[in-house]
Amino acid sequence: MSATPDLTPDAGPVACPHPQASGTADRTVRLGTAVRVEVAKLVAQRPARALLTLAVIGPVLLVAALRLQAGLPKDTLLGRQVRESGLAPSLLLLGFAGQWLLPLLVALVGGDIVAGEDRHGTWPTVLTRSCSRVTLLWAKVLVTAGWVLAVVLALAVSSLLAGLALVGTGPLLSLSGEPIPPGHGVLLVLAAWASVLPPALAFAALAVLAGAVTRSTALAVGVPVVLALVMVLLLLVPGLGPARHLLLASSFSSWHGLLTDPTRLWPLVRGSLVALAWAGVCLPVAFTVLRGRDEPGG
Amino acid sequence: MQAHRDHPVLALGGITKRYGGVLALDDVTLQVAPGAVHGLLGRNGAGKTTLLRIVLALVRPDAGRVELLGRVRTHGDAPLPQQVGGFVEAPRCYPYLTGRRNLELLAALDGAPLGGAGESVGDVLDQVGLGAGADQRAGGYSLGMRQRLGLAAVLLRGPRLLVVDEPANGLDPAGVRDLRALLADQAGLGRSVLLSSHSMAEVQELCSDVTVLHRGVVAYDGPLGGLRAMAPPSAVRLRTSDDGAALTVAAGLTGVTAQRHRSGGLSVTARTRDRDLLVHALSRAGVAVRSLEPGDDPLEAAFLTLTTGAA
Repeated sequence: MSATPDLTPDAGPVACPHPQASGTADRTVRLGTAVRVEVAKLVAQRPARALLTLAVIGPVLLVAALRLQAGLPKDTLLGRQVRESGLAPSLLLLGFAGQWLLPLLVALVGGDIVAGEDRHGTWPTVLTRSCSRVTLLWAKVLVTAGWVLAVVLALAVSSLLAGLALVGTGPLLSLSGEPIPPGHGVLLVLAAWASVLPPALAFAALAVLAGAVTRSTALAVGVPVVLALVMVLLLLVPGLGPARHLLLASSFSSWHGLLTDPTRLWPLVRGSLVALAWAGVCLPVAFTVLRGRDEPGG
Repeated sequence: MQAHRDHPVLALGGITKRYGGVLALDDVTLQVAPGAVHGLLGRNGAGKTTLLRIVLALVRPDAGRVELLGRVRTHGDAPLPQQVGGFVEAPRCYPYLTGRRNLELLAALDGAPLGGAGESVGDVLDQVGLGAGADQRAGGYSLGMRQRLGLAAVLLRGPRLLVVDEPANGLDPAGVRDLRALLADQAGLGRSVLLSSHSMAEVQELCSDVTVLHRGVVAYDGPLGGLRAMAPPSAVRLRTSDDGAALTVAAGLTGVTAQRHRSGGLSVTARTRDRDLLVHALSRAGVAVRSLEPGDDPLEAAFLTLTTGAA
């Protein structure tokens, strides 16, 4: 409580924040404004800043650790090349990220951007302004997509630069065993990172849906991460057949086709379509839930 | 505060809301006149907060009509009309932002340029007495400071109708006094207030009209004076030198009902004139009157009468 209460009528008429407030016309806030508000909220949160910092610094530490350790991670894809080609550590991280790291990083924001309003009890606060529910939800989805882009970009650029700086520009051997020149290799590594954007966005949509349905940040983050791990395990199950391609974990590994000779683009297309389908189911359901539900919270 | 019932700023008609098998509101109808402070009374669970949520478009009614500022709400995706503002229960904010930043973002969601509503934000912060704490993180605010911030967020919209739920919660006595002054001032400016409150003193001081809800049904809707007039004759507490003898004396008088009070003394119900006659009679009978204490407040008595027992 402030020391000097001043809720007095002497303070004069309430100032209107903008001219329309004293008129009769209602205004609907545009999507761009709602996006800027969501960005401002996200940037103000320490966990989000810390995660982005981690996405920049983490790969550098990983590459340094790989360079310093005695053995090689031979049982991982391209693990034998991490001290020969500066491109290999980035792809090693990419393979690892697709299993649970990216689902976790995107769910931490995608889940909380919706369920956080429940956690703070702020749905009634924002829903009693001049912004429609749909605009608000689109803003949250777009900011989540921006977050996914930022995290993937940070991981890709950081791991690539750290690899080239600490390991060198030696040629990368493709999965078929042919050497890939460094210049072309850099483009392939960036393309490989770009290929995980669709499944990462699909996991973000899953987190948004989990947040809308459960109203719980813990579940909104936990559900996508657990699903990611379950999908990875399902890929190990023999006899799954073509159904394995419907799993987002499969989409996360579709970049392998870029490192074969000849290049196989169909897995990339299929993985993107599968991710689009997942997002295409999750987001409309999330919107329906959020638009239709009552807000009983304070 | 002159009521203009022909053009209410808020008109609810036949509002019904059910949560599962529980009927939270049953055919609730009320109107709030321009410039009026309209009290909403009811015991816990009477449906007050549900009704306020329906007014603020946070909850959709199962049936009924909500007319805000002359326009019927369709319960679609349209945001709350610009000139309506309010909060239910404790107002909430983003704890990781300062109070000022919270308001700046809310102003942006009202259409102000992001960061461009500084003057208006400063004005409302000063108005609610939160200027000194405006740059602290809201997560460290006391309940009273959060109430002030919530009220500032409402005022920021420049509303013609303020919908507030127990706004004095958490405020110190000076804050309560200033809050009441502010609400009265808003009414003086021609703005209407729908005020949910458990404080009879607050309602008596501010409200021109009241609606009493009991188990989701309107038990009373009308002027405050009308509710007060419904109060039963109030019982007074009588302490004497000999309660047994006093009971015998009272039994001999018409218009006087007396019974032993569970905490000692007698509980006497009588009109003022009959009560005077009782005091004289006791004196003649040699029974000394040691104290005569006032009974329930008429408004409180009327409220309790309306909200006790079956709906």
